[in-house]
Amino acid sequence: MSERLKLYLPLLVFAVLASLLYWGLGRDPRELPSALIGRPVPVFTLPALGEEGRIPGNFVVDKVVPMQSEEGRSVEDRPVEKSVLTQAIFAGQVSLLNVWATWCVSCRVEHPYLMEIAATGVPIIGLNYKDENAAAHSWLRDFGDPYQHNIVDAQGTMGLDLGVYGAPETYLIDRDGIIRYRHVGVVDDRVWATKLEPLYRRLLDAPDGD
Amino acid sequence: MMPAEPVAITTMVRSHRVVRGAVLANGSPSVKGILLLFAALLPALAYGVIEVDQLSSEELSQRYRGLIAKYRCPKCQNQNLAESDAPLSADLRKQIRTMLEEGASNRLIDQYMVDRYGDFVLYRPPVQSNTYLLWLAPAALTGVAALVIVVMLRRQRRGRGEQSTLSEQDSQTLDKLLKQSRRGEKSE
Repeated sequence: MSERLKLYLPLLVFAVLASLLYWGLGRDPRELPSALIGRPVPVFTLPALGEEGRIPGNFVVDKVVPMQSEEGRSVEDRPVEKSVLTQAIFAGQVSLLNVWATWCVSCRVEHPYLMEIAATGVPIIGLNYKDENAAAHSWLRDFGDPYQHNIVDAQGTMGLDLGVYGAPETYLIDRDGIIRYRHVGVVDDRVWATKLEPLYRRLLDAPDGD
Repeated sequence: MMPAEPVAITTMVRSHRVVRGAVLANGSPSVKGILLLFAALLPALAYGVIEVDQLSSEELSQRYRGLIAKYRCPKCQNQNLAESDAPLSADLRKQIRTMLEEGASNRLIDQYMVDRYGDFVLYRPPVQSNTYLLWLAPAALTGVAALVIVVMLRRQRRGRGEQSTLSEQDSQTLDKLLKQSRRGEKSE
């Protein structure tokens, strides 16, 4: 019996190794898991991109944003000219945080998918990463604006705090402002359907304070 | 951050000519040629980003140089922060300089990097439950290899001094048969 084992051992080792490597083929070795999963969105105070280019009628009227970093769901729903945003904008809703820039070619590819996703009612908050306001405004005007808010991160400081290493990146953030998932790369309909949407629906149904 | 590029191109041009010289006319490589080729390509390893280091003290500069050599650039992933040209790398270097000026300890800066980019950003990952395999595997594999070698050597030694398992009579018959077959082969 031991002889037979010795005969088949190389084949066995090969089979194990081959299945391991085959599994590995489907994975991206450059992809880094986010170090912020399960932690709240970093504290920030950054300017908003401004309200031009907004698709009228698609979104709930802007909530009041507290200037200090207080938690809390906003009760009032009156339109406010927001000039400064903080992490409080994430409280009370399950949202996507999309890191994008006009110099990023993949973001252009991703954009139509974001428009579709936004049209289904998913709040998407943009982080305009190391970009220029004028370029960002033209982009949104020409291609459409799927964003509920757009945070201007001209220096990339919020990007550093989030652990951004390449645009586009999309974070899924729950009602309590906790980061639940990060996807690096273009979010197309397949990624949305297989990776993001199930988690999004689950977070929507989750009771508060989860 | 272009300075390294001309060096690389010159090295490539030089190395092309050296490659042709490293191989003799009959196609076999010469030792001297190969050594020359190796030496010509060495400058490509001396690649670093040139930045104006504005730290306020020599001690901070030293710490800075040590720190940027030990973090992996999250974007390039096979270069450390000292070598990487990426904008993210420049941002991180600037952040480290700021933190050094503010008096952060090396440990705090380590923690800053790991908090945002994970353990992967350190070239020496911490020894913890999910990295035991990583740290111990080389030693363990070497141990297994040594064991296999020892066992094989022992078997060989035993094999040489081993008594034949055949009886005296049988082994004579075997010798006769072998001689016959050899003679048979020679006559063919």
